Amino acid sequence: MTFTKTLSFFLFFSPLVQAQKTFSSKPEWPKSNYFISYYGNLAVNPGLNAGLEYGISENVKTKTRNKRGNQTVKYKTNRLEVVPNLGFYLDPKGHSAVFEKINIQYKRINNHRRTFTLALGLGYYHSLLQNVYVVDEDFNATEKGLKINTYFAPEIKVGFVRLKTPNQNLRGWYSNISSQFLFHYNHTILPLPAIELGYRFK
Amino acid sequence: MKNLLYLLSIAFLFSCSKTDLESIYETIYVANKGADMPVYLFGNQTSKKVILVIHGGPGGNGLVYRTGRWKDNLEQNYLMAYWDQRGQGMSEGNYSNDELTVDKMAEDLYAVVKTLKFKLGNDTKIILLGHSWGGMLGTAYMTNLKYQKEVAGWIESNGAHDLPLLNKEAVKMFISISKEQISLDNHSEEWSSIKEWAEKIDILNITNDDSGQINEKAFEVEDYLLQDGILNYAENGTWSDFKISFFSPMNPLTSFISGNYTNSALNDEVESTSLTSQLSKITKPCLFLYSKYDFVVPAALGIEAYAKVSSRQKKLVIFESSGHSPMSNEASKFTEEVEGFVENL
Repeated sequence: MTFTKTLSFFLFFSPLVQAQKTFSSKPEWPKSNYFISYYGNLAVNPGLNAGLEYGISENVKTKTRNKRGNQTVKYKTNRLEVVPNLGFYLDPKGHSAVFEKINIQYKRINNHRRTFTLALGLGYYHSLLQNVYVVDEDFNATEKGLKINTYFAPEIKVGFVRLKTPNQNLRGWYSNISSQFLFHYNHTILPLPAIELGYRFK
Repeated sequence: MKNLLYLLSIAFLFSCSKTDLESIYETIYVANKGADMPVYLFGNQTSKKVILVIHGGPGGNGLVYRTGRWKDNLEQNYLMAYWDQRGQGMSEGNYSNDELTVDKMAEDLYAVVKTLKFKLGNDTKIILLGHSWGGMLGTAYMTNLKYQKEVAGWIESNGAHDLPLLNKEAVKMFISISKEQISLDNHSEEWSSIKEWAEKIDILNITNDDSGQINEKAFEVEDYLLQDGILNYAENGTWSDFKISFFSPMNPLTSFISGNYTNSALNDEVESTSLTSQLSKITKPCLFLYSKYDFVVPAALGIEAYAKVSSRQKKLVIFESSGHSPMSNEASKFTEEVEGFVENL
C-alpha cells in the first residue's frame, strides 16, 4: 500500500509541489543533461534507466503584454533533443531484460515552468531467459542455460513535471509513463508499459 | 543526488520485499519450435510424482492456478508444474500464426514432459491435470499414443474436449436449470430471460456467435447461483490472488494481451474440435472431475469421456456445489480427489 501511495505521489503530485514562480529573465538552457531513473516493468520488476538528453534545436519565444500599465514578459521554450539511453529490469524467477534506445524527444516548457515531454524512439529489447532447456527434432532435451531473445522495440514516452526555480537548468525530479512495443513477440506485437521516476542532472 | 539514491533504495526494497518468490522452487523454460515456455515448479521435489497443470483459455496462464487453497496439500506432497502454453502467460519467442494449432500445442506439451523427465529423472511419474481448454489440449495429447506413454495418468477437470457437444449440452442445461431455478424463485426474472434466449438457439446449427454468447451467459448464471447459495463461494484468499497478479514472475498485462491474441488465432479451430471419437485411445488411469452447475463445460462431457476411455483405472466425480472451477468452489474435496488418484499411481 505504501509503495502504491509513493508511486501515486510521484506520478501525479510531484509537479504540484514545486514553487509556482515564473521566469524573471529569458531562460538559457544547457545543451545537455543526464538522467537516471527507477524503471519498473509494471512497477513490480525493478530496474534502472539512464541516458543523456542532448538538445539539437531550441526556440525560446518571448511575449510581452501590457496589462493595466504593468508589463509582463512570458517565455515559452520548444526544444528538440536526442536521447540515447540504456536500461534494464530484473525478475530473477522469470525473465530479466536489457534495452537500448535512441529517442527523439520534444520538450515544451511554459512560463510557469511546466514541462511536457513526448519522446518517440527506436531500439532493441533483449529478454534474458535462464534455465532454458531446448528440445530437438527427436524430442531429446538438453540444458542450454541462458537464452537471449532480441526484439525490435520502438518506444513512446510521455512526461509532465514542473521545474524548480530559480535554476536556469533542467535539473530535478521527473516522472514518465512509457511503453515499448516488442515486434515479433510470439506471433504479434506486445506493448510493454512501464513507469519511470527519475532525476535529471547536468 | 543523496535523495535520489535514498528513493531508489526504497523503491527497490518495496519492489522486492512483499513477493512470493521465496516459495518458488524453480522456473525453467522449455524451447520448442520457436516458443520459449516457462514452467514454474513448486513443492516437494522428493516425491518423484509431478502434477503438470495445463491451464484454461486459450489465453490463460499457469500461475493463475496457484491461487486459492486447493494446491496447498498437493504442493506439500508432490511437485507441481505450472506451464505457460505457447503464446500465453509469459511464453515468448517468435513463430508464425500457422504454428498456433492444437496439434502444435500438444507437441509442446510433449516437449515439456520430456524436459521434466530429462531434468528430474526418467523414473519420475508425470500426471497431467487439464482444466477447461486444458482439457481439450490434454485430450489431444492423450489420444496420441506416442505422447500418452510418457505420462502416468490423466486428470481432466471441466475439460472442453468437444466444443460442438459442449455447446449443445450447455443449451440443454440453460433450459433445464432455468426451469428449476424459476420454480425455486431464485433470480426468476433473469432465469426467465436466459430460458427465452436458450430456447431460440437451434442446437443443430450453433454458430460461432452463439458459442460466444453461450460462454458469456455461462459465467453470468454462475453469479446468480452463487448469490442464491447453490454454489459455494471460492475458497480463495484475496491476498494470495493479489500476490500472483502483481508480485510473481507473471506480468498480468503481458499475459492478458498475449492470451487474447492467441485466443483469437485459435478460435476457429477450437470451436470445431471434437475429440470424443478418439477417447477410446486413452488407456492410462483417468480421473474426470466435473461440476453439476458448470454451464461453461457441462458435466455431460465428463460422463461421456468416462464411458468412452479404455482405461481400466478410471473415476468420475461430479461436484454438486461447483461451477466451472471446482478447485475454487469445493477446494478441499477437489484436492482430496486429486490426491487420492495420484497416490494410487
